[in-house]
Amino acid sequence: MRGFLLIAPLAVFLAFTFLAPISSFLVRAVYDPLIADAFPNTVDALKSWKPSEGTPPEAVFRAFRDELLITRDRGTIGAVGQRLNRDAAGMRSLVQRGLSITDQTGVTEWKPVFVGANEQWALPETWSIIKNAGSRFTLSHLLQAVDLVKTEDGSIELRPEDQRVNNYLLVRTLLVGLAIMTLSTLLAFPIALAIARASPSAARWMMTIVLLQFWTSVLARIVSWIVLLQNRGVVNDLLVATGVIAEQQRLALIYNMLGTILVGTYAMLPLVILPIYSVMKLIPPSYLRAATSLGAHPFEAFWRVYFPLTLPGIGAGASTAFILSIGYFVTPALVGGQSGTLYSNIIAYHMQTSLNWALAAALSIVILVVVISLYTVLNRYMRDRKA
Amino acid sequence: MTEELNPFVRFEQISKTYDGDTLVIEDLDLDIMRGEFLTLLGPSGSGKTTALMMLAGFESPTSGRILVEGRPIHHVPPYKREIGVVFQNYALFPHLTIAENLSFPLSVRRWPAADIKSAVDQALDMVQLGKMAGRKPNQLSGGQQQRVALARALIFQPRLVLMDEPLGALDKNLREEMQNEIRTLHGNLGINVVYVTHDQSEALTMSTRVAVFKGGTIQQLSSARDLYEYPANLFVANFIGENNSVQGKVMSTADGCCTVELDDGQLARGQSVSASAANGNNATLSVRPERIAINPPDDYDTLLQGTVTEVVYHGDHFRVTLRGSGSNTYQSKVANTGGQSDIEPGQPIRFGWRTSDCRCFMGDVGC
Repeated sequence: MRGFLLIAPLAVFLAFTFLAPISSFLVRAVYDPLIADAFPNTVDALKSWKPSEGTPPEAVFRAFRDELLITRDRGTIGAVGQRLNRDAAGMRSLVQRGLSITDQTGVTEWKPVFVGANEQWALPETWSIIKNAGSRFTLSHLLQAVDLVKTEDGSIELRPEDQRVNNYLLVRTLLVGLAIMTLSTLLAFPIALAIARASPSAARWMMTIVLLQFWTSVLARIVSWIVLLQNRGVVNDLLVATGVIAEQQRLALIYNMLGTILVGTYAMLPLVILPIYSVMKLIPPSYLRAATSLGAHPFEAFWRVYFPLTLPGIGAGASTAFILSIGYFVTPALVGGQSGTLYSNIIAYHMQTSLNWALAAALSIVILVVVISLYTVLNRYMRDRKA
Repeated sequence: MTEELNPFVRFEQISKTYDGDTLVIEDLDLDIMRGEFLTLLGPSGSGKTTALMMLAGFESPTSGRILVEGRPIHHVPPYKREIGVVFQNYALFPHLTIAENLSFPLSVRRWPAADIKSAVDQALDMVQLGKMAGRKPNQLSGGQQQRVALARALIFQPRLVLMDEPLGALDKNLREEMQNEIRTLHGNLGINVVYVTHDQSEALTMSTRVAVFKGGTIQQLSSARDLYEYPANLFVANFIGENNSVQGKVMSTADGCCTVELDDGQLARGQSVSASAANGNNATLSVRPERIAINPPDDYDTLLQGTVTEVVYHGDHFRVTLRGSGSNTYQSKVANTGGQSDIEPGQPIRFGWRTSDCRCFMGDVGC
């Protein structure tokens, strides 16, 4: 109980700064009350209506006209138009133009007024969009996040090919994560080994060099990579100057997937070195001595005794690198170009540019589920190994 | 060639320094005979483990050479030395099962699988751990791990086995049990054992010979009995068993016997150890507590007057603290054969020893 009190401030802090914002954001993926709140009576009147019945009855038009005026007075008409436009292009201007006819007075039948102003008001599709958007809970964003769509008849199918981008990005993100993980682990292992074997003073220096990149701003580091890797950068200049490649053959090392992988590997390196190093430090030197005294050649002793004992460190470092690179944002945005864009960038796009927060939240849920399931599988695998 | 008469292992003028300045081992000469159980005994930092590690090949001597069966081994890497090593913390491989640990030395020698299996089964039987074959080392008790480490060091049939404080982590009962097992194994297998310990009772009970280390040099190399009965110097006398050190001045020397005047003017006699005993020199007499007799018979040639200052009951014996009329105090162990209850603190008393039970070293206690 006393122990709990000690961590209570942290728990409260985390609840307010971590759990609450994340969950309130993720909820947006399935909970969208905008239309239901703006047009409660219209949505209610549409409840008994089916698209197969053709143009909805007058009651729907009347309610819609009243609530359109209320929405305008509340100042939320822009948000509503944008929300509807997301489901079908053209809805925003339709609603905006609809606004201009609602001011008429002395009208007894609103249906002909709307239809007269724009033929689209007579189409069942228009009203079915409003009806669907009017439900507070929806799976459509989640479906869209995995490139699925719910059709008119209620079945779920893949989106048309030109609209499938999310799954492709997910696969690319996982592959880039895998590449960064593999490269950084392969590079980190010998470095960790060298530090673990070095004298204490040399080890201190090596560790400082490894950690040096944490002391520099991430932007400065990435810009220095741009200086190195760009078309007229240091690496290409050197290759041309030494005659390895011709002037016209300058390599595209950055603003593509290669750039994301290179800079990502560099950024992950310390995070992989540290856990491997700390595990190596805990392996008593007597194990290797014992193995050689038992007749094993130093290479065999290393491979059969030392290496297996470093696996927990490799597992921890590699999974850290993988999970972090899946959620990678700044680097791909700066050096990824078109082909190096990752999942986080599309989430950022929906948050900042298309302003489709619901889809951004749905995409976040997808990547969260992927990471958690990978982590669970890995965790179980490690535990089985130990037992 | 008289190969059989040569020592099995010979250290020749071995010196070792890590920093080029202080010598961890200084001009070490040591012969280990065939089939011997030799213990290197000494306080920590005395160089005993370094000597062992040089033999195993994990350290190389700064100067001098080590010969095994007459051949120098400094160019032989550890994995080709065919020397079994039992490490202080056992060094069992934690990711391998007991059976895999035992088969490790055989599989690196590319033995056929069937031979490995029968050798491992046999080794498991030897240490009575057949049921534990599939367990990991951390699922075994300290004593069981110790047995596995021993079996692993023996399974490839080395002729020389080194043990670096192998029983240090065990409790007292288990340690005595394991001492017996190791001694029995040594007798049965006819192997050479070089054993490092700082536990003198372990050294005395197990070894053919004991080498007492201090400051990188061997102070004395002899059987356990000689070590206790005839220590070569004051360090050995104090390090092995309990000892009374009594200071005085040499009065006369005759027939290998020194007569020493104690600080209270009484005379005591002991065997002269160094040839340089000259009259008037400072000397330290060394006598074991159980050899100081209280109310001794008249044929004892050292008879002293003193006072009892403390009597402590130990069950099978009493520990009596005595004081001469000067500052010298004496510890005496009196066997509890009944009827000693008359010794009480404050009581004046006569005590003494036989000359053959006392060693007379030149110099002060501190040296």
